[in-house]
Amino acid sequence: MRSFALYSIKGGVGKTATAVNLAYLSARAGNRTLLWDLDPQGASSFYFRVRAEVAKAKKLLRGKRDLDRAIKGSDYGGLDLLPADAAYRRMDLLLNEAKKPTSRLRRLLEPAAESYDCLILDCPPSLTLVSENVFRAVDALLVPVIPTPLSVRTLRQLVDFVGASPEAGVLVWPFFALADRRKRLHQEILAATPEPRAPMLQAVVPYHSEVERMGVHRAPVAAYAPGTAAAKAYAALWQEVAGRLGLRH
Amino acid sequence: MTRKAKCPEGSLLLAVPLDGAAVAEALGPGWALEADRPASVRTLCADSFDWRLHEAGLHLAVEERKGTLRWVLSRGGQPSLTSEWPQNLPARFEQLPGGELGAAIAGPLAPRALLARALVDCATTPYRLLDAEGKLVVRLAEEIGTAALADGVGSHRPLPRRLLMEPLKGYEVEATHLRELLIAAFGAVPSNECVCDAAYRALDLIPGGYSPKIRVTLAPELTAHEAMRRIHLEILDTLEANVDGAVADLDAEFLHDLRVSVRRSRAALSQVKGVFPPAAVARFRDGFGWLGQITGPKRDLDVFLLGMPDYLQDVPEELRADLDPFRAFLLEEHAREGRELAKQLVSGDFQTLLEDWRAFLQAPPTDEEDMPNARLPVAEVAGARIWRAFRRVLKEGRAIDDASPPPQLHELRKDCKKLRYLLEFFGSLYPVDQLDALIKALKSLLDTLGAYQDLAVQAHHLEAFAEQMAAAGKAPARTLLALGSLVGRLLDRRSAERSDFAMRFAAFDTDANRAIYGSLFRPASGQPE
Repeated sequence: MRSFALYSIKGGVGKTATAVNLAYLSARAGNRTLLWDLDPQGASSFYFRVRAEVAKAKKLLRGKRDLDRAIKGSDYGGLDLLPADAAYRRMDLLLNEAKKPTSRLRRLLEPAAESYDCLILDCPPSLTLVSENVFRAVDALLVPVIPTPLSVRTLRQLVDFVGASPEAGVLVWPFFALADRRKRLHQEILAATPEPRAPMLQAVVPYHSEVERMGVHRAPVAAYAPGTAAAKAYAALWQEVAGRLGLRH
Repeated sequence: MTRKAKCPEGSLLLAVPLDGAAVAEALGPGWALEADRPASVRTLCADSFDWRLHEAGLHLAVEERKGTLRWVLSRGGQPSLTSEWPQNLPARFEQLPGGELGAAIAGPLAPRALLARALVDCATTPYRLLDAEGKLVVRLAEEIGTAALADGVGSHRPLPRRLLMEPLKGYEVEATHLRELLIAAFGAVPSNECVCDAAYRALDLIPGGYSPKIRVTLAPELTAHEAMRRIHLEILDTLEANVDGAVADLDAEFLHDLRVSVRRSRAALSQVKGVFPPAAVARFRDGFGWLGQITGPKRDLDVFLLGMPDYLQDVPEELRADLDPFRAFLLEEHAREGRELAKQLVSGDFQTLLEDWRAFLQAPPTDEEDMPNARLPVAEVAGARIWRAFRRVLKEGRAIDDASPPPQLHELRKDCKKLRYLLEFFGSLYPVDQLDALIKALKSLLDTLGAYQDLAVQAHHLEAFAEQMAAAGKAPARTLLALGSLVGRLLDRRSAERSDFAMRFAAFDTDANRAIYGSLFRPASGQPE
C-alpha cells in the first residue's frame, strides 16, 4: 500500500477538494483506495454524502474498535471512506494517551495494507502531535500552496519542521493550488522556485468556480464535470503523484 | 482484478415486479429507491462433464454483459469470488482464469474442461437505495429470466423473479432493514438458491447425473441374462455419453471413460459366459476389440502429455529445454491422432456397432440351448465367476518371484482388472463396506502393476518417437540425448515399481482379504483355495 496526506499548516488552501478528487481518480484507475477524513469539520465526508461519526474515534484510536468496521463504501467502485468524527477535535489528547504517541496512526493503519493499494489522509491544518503521526504514517505529504508570500512562508515552516524529524522519512511534495493567472503576484510566484529544498510538482490547480460547486453536487468535480480546467488539473496532478508512488494512473 | 463480493444474505424471490416508490415510502421520509436502465445479461452455468464443481459444493456462472465476461464463483449459494476473464465456454483446463478464483476451481476440476451446462437469459434492472443524504447505501438488481439447455435444444423455461442485494461497505444495517421490509410487507421470499441451481431445477437437469461408476442395482434372484443386459446397457450409456467429448477432445477424460466402457463391455462378454448366444458374443467382442484398438494411439499420447510435467522433474534441469522439439512433435502427433480418432468415432462402422449392440440388448431374450447360465439367479453366477477370478489372481501372483519376466506380471494385471470389473458389475449384490475393502486392496495392487506396465510402454514409445523424429529430420542431437536420459529415468522408476511388487502382493494376499472373498463368493460346492 502506498500513501500520502493532503497537508498544510494553513487552512483554506484546497486540501479537501484535492483529496476528494485524487481519491476518486485513484479508484477510477483501478487502485483500491481508502480516504481517511481526519478533519473534524468533515468536509471530505460531506462531499461523499457520508455522515460524520460522533465520538467513535476514541475507541478507534485506542485500538478497541476495528478499523474495518468504521469504513464506509462510497458511491464509486473501489473507493472507501473513513468518515470524520467530531472527536477528532481532541485528537492530540487521544493520541497522547497511547504508548508510542507519534506512531499511533501508522500502527492503526497497518491492517489496511492488505485491503487497499492507496491510502489518502485529509488532514486538518496544524503542526501538532497529529502532524507527527501523519508524517510517520504516510510516504509523502502533498502540500497545496497558493501563489502568495504568506502561503510560501508556511511551506518553508513545514519543510523546517519535517527536516527537524528526519526519522519520520516523509517526502514533501508541494504544488500550486487556487492559482489565478490574472493576478500579477500569482504569475511572479508561479515562475519562481519558492522553496529549493522541496521543488514544486509540475501540475498547477487553478482557481475555478466549479470546485466551489462541489458542495452543491456533493461529488468530485472529476466525476461530474471531467472536461473542466479544474478536473483536468486534478487529473494531471494524479498522473504525477501516482507515477512517483508507482500506483495505477 | 479479483475481489470479494459481499452478499451475506442470499437473494429474495418476488411474486410481482419491484415498486420502487412504494418501497421507499414504506422505508420512511428521506429514502429513495431509484431504478437505472435495464440491461440484458446472458449467464452460462459452468461445470465439468462429471459435475466436479457441484460435487465440491461450488457454482460457477460466466456472465456476459455488453461484451464483457465476468466469472462468478459461489459457495453454498453465495457469490464468493468474481473475476473478469475473456475466455468463453467451453474452456479447457489450461484456459481457466488465474488468481484466487482460478485457484479455487483448479483443485476440484483438474484435469477436466469446463462446459456450459445451462444457459440463462435475464433482463436485469439495477436499483439504488439512497439515504436522506442522497448517499448510495445498497445496490439491488431485479432479474427476470429464462433457462435453456446450453446446446440450445429444447424450450426456454421461466425462472422465478429474483432480487439480489449488495450493501455498500458499512451499510449492512440498512440492507438488513430493507430486506426485512421486503419480506414482511412486499411478499418477498428468501432464497439461497443461486441462478444455476434455479436453472437446473427449471430444466429438470440433475447435477451429478453422470458418473463413470457402475450404479446398477441388482436383486440376487434376477436371472443372469437380465442382470447382464442391465449392466451392459449402463456401460453403453456411459460409452455413448462420452463420444461427443472425445470427438471434440476438450479434455482427456472423455476418451478415458469411453475406453473404460469398452474394456468393461469386453470383460463382461468374456467373463460371464453362457448368458447370451455365442455368435452375438463373438461379433460384439470383436467390435469392442476394434474400438479398443482405434482409441489406443490417441490415449497413449494423452497419457504422455498429461505425464509430461511429471517426467520433466526426472530430467536434469539443463536438459529440459532440449526436450522442447520433442514436445512439439508430441503435440503434432496428438493432433493428428485426434483427427484420425474423430473420423472413426463419427464413422458409419462405429454408429452401426453401437446401434446394433443396443438393439441386441433391448430385444427380448431368445431361449437357446447354448446359453446355460441365462436362467440362473445372478447371485449364483456372479459368486462363482468372482471366486474363480480371485483364485486365478492368487495363483498367478504367488507364482511370481524376483526372476519372473515382465509378461507374467502383465498377465496378472489383466486378470486383476477382470476381477475388479466383476466386483464392480455385481457390487450391489454384496455388503458395501466389505466390497469397498476388497476393491481398495485390489486397486493398490493394480496401481503398482499398472505403473510397471505403463512405464515400460512409455519407454518403448519414447524410443519409437525418437526414431520417428530422427527419420523426419526433426531431432537435434541434444534432443535425442535428453530423450535417452528420459528413457533411462522411466526404466529406473519401473525397476522401483518392480521391487515394490512383492510387498504389494503380500498386502493383497492376506488372511483377512482371503476370508472376505471366501465368505462372500465361495460356492457351496467349491473347492478350498
